[in-house]
Amino acid sequence: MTETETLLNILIPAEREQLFMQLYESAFPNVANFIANRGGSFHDAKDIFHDAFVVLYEKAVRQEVDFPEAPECYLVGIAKHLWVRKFKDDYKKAGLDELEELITIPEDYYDTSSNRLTSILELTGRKCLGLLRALYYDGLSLEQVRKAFSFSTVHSASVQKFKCIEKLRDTVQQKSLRYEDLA
Amino acid sequence: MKTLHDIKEIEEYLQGKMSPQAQLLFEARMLIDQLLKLQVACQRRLYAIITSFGRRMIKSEVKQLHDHLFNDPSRHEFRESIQALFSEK
Repeated sequence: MTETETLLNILIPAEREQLFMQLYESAFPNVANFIANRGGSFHDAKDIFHDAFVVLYEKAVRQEVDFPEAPECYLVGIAKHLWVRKFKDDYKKAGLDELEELITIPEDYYDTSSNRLTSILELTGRKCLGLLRALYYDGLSLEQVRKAFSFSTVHSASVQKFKCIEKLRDTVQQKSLRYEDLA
Repeated sequence: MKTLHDIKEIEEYLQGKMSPQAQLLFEARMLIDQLLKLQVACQRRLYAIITSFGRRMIKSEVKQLHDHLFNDPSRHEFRESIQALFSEK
């Protein structure tokens, strides 16, 4: 790992881009090779690899992984797990090493039940969705959100958070015509 | 502000941050209050939607990097070495 990689902050978009680019070039050949050897296509490799970045990002922001100790190895390991999960391949055949075996993938990763409602909310409440994403998905503190979204006080950021939840929750309620949308 | 208080309470319930007694009481309220039950379900779904949105955003960032890498003439060696892995099969 080079000095620059360890200093990059995954939460800052410009630095994330730089880090992801380095990881893309160093890890994709390995992942593509793994998937090609198991009969997967270039598109399978691309899809799995992109999902692996998402999982790596989530682990980094939740500090589940001592990031960036070895992000490249971790990314490759995640991709292998995703391959097995998505294509119902045999774990034993994947030939995971001891470190890779320890990697876990979020249970809900391939759950698509929220996709329809997510698309609706992206159209009708994108601003609120962006704010809530920063708080709940990126795990920023209210103070960080105050700065990033230019609120005058932490209190006003907090009030806006709850107003956004109310607004989007109402949309979810109106658009959930089928029971399975909420189950 | 009453609604904001309710949302906060539902959030505490969904995130498992209530004391065991408060949780029992809250679940008892949900049994008799159908609106509360619906709001809890919608808020739960909203958190799943936020995750799904966050994932889409990260994925679209990575896709942009991919498009850049696979269209940049100066990276043709990288591109060809990857494509060779699939053409041999």
